[in-house]
Amino acid sequence: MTEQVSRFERFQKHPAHSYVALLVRLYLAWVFISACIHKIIMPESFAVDIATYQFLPLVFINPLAIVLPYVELATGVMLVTGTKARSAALMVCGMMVMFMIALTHALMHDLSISCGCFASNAAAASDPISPLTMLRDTAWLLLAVYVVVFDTNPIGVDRWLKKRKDAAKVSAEAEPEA
Amino acid sequence: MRTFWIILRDAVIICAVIAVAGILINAVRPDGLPFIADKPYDIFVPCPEALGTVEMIAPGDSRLTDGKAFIVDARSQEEFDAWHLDGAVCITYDYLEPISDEELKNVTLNIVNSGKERLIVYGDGDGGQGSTGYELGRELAGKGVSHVFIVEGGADAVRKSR
Repeated sequence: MTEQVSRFERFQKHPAHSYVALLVRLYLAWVFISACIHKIIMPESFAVDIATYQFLPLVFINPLAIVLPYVELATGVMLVTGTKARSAALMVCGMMVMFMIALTHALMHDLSISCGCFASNAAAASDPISPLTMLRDTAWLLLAVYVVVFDTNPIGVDRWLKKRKDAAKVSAEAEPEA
Repeated sequence: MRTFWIILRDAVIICAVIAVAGILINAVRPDGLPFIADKPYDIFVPCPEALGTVEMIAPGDSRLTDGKAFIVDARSQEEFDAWHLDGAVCITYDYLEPISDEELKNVTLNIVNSGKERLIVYGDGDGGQGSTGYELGRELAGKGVSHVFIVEGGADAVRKSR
């Protein structure tokens, strides 16, 4: 068991993961930043999109329409810059699970609507939700899980801060000797 | 495991901070949303449509009276009571509600039990697109009922041809 754990840890800490994860992060960041733009520009339209799913009670629609686009934007920026990248990826996981629950509800009720992910329902009537939408979201969820699990030393601000911290630690240890 | 909790903790804190920021930005925006909607949103969700292909037949067509057709009257119950073709069954077509699975099951069972080889539907209006007979026929065809025919001219034409 211990050997298995250490083998997994060795695989998890392989330096190649940072580079693969960087590509995954850039892709997810592009997805989320492009998804949040229309939601930030047209909050009312996004609120209608949420209402169209007929899933949430009225009291939760506007708070979600107000907050979610900024969470998506922040997540995208954090993934690009490598700032708390694993936390950002975990946020992506949370959002994807939330979207997939809403999608399942819509599919189960045969709602002929667009997912509202990249444009409002009114603007994307030709892009209806389908099991393929669910498949796409599952793929994004798996990519985010990959970043959470394997991007142990993310390239970007996280790595730079870690290097600075390590350097400060080394110099602090060296000082008393001097 | 400890690392995961740190990642989760950071994610929760970041979400909370962003949520507050989002609420503040919304509050100062001229087109910001009220935090709680005061009335339900007007949403438009088109009804799911399963439409199949049907064949039009003339009101005097012999297939209507050869005893091998299961005949459905798509008009209202009142219109059906006032006059209907002998042997016809009333299934009132509703423009807003698709035919329920229960109703579809009943119709299918009736057709199978009757031993008829085709389904002929007539309704109001001219029997063409938009009339109850045409729409019901296409809906039934779209839900798997085969050999569906629509009577041109609807119930009026059928009555005149008798």
